[in-house]
Amino acid sequence: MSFDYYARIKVAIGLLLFFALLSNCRLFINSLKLDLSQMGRDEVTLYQKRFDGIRNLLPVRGTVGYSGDGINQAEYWKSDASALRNWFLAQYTLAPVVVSITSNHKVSIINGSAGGGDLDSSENAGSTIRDLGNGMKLFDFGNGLKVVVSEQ
Amino acid sequence: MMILNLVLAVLIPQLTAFILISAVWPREKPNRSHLLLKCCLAVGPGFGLLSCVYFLQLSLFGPSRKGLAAAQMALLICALALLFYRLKSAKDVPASEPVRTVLPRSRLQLILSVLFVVATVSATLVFVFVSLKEPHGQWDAWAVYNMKARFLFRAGDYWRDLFYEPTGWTSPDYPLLIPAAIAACWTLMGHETVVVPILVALLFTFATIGVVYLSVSHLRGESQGLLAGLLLVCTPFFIMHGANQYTDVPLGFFLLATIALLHLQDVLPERQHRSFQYRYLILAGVMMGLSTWTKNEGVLFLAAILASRFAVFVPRNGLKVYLKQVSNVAIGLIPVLLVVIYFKATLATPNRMLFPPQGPSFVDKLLDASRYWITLDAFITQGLGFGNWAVSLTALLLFYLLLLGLGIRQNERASIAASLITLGIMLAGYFAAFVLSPLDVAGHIASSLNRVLLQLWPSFIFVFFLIVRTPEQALMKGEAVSAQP
Repeated sequence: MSFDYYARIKVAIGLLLFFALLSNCRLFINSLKLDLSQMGRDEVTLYQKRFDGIRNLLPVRGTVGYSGDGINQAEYWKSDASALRNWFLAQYTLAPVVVSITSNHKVSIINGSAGGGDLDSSENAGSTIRDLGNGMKLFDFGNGLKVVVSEQ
Repeated sequence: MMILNLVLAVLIPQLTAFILISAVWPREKPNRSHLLLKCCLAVGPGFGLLSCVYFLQLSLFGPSRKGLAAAQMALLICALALLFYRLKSAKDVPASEPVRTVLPRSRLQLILSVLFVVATVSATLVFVFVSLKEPHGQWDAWAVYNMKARFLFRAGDYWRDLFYEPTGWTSPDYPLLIPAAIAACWTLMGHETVVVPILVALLFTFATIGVVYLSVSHLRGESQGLLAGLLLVCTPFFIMHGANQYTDVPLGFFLLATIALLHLQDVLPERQHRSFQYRYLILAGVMMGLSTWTKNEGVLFLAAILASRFAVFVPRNGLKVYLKQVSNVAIGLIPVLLVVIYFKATLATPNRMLFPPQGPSFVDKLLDASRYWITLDAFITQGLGFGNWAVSLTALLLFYLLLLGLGIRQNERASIAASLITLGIMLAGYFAAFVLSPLDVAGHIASSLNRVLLQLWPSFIFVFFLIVRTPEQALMKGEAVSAQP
């Protein structure tokens, strides 16, 4: 009786400790897979750098328009996850400018996948510019980011 | 210079909170574990106080680094003056609890201490590795909390623009403890760095472990405290989530701190000087208030704790004692609650979960049986698999409880019952929130349920180790059994 009782107490404590430490070890071993050469090159940091070129075109504060691949402008919560992620990262990067998917803004960002420039355009500070008429200009940064500026 | 600024920006609010807690703490003989417990408890009020002051300064006077630094120094001086007054006061009761004799550490305690230290060092390294890998945190961290911190810090006089985003995706009704604390640290430092949100997350994560270990040790002895602390520090999801800079860990800290302080209050012996009986309640009130300033779930917690204590303590001690206790809680609670009410009244938009702009009507959702089944199924499945352990943690704890048995003390029954009811109300509230969610229920559950369970996890561990027998109690019972003829 006595042996059984002590044994079961020891088993209970032993099992709790064993599995606790096993979980701890597994987590530690998984985290060791970190590649130190990738420090500072995480996804968010790299994504933010895409926006370095467009900052000069944006106002210091206020609201700018935003559109991107996969964004459902009418019901944004139905957009696909990667589109939402890109939008929210744009907002995180460009705060305190409000990056809104609503329309009729003087400055709008088009966040698409990287592609080639346009033929009928001129080079300007890392971007190509195309006149869209009606006082609107499109700045293409060649990395998937475009900015439409309305001068009206 | 940057490191010095960082240390000062983070340390001064913590020091102020520590001094304030020491000034309110029931008087006792110098005690190392109480000192450490106060240090751990100070983390939440430290950042909470800083964020409240910063938010009020922004709202009333506009952003100012000098103004914020002066306010911090003024608070520190006031805290020191209060502590000095308290120490000089001769009215207090000299000892708040029975004198404990210091026993030599048993072999079990020694083993548990070594394992606890090893696990804590390992968890700290994991936290650092994860933070190096993802310094901006995970989705909610950069999309909501750190984004808001950037906004508050960068926008200057136009910080209110944050609340005017037309679609409302930035959740302008979310309380601001974490974003405002981060922005306040950046303001005090004079520049923005990802180290601050990482440090805030680190302090909350490990302070929570400290509160679990030290408060259970205080109430049940060191072995039990070490087991409780080990269980939390070895929960991979807790450490990873802390490192991902989500606010569920800070909220979990405040829920735990409130429940632990209420337990400390409830086990105090009846004493002659009634005016000094309720000091832990004042601190518990502060923690409750700060939980409402961290996340909207804090409001549910506030209602849950007041309701559960009403249900348990009024029949036992009478309404008068309950109201007396609530009035002491209110001393700590009301100042923070006023800040939250001011925020909600002036800036926050209606909550999209309660007042959704889209989706089926409230009645449709309430009468849809499939929503209940989906939610119940997820609660059971995720409840059993919670924590990312190698085995089901819930099943293991049940097994542990069955083998060691219950060890509830007579004078703690009411307190434990109230805490269990509180956790039950919280779970029921979360259940209802998922059933009535304006979003796709399955999707909402997949992205949120494990996080809301995590909010309750530290408190659950605390209560669990007050319910289950300590190793020493279990072994003593074994001796009694073997001594029987």
